[in-house]
Amino acid sequence: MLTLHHEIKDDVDIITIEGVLNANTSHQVESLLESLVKEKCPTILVDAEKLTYISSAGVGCFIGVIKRIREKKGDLRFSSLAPSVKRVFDLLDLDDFFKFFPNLQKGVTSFR
Amino acid sequence: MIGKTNVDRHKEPMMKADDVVRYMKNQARGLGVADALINDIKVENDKDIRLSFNGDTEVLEIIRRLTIKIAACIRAFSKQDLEDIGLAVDEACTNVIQHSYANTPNCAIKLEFVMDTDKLSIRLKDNGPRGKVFDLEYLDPIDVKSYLNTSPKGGFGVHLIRKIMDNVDYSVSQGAYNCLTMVKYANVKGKQ
Repeated sequence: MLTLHHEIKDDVDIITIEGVLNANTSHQVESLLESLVKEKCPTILVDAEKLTYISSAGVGCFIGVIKRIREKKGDLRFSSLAPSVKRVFDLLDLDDFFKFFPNLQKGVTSFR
Repeated sequence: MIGKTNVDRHKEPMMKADDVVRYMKNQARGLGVADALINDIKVENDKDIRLSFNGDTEVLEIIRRLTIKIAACIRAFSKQDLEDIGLAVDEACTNVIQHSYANTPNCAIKLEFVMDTDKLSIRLKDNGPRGKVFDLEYLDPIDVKSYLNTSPKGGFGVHLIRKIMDNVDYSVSQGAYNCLTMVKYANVKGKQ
């Protein structure tokens, strides 16, 4: 139901996420994020073009690590969210808590 | 016809149980959900649709898609309304599985859909020992921004349910199911 792919480009950890991110699949994202949080200054871009659905359990994966990431002067940002996925962030009043970019390239260059 | 005329819902179900089962099996195949889990989902209907299933997070996506399919029988709902209702049901079922039943296997959940032309009422029943997950103290709105400072991984489900649904009510009866009732109106005029 969920496929994750991780690569590093221009010193940015890019997580490509595909499928359904709910309480059944959130542990996959959580364990990847937990390993990336250990970096000195984590800069993570979540590319979610093929993410079809997210529940609060999915959003919780990112909220659970964001404080630690920002304390290290890093950040976790999103690119290419479908409107229906972005809506869940909006419903939770998180639209200005995370940075969202329309495509992968803009997301990557935002870290420069 | 539905949505244009005043359908007498006491005579005809808006969606038949057979259609629900067929849709569910198709979706399950695409998602790769185990047959055993799907065969555990029971569907009944007369004028309403009732699902009973084992609380396993693996069926959450099926239940969400079924909810959208069933809610779509009410033509007055917008596409966004349907997505929102699916999210609310996912959140409610997740809470029951993870908190009311504390991830115990083979726990029973019942989901009932009562459909009108402009209104959908959903009842979610469980008999989990910790069945106070939707109790009033949890239903108080949270201040999301200050809550974020605590790095929570959860706790947003009830917040979302209240934001999406027009009426939310919760009852705990001794020796019976805990029952969360959620109502969504198809248009603002219908809201009370």
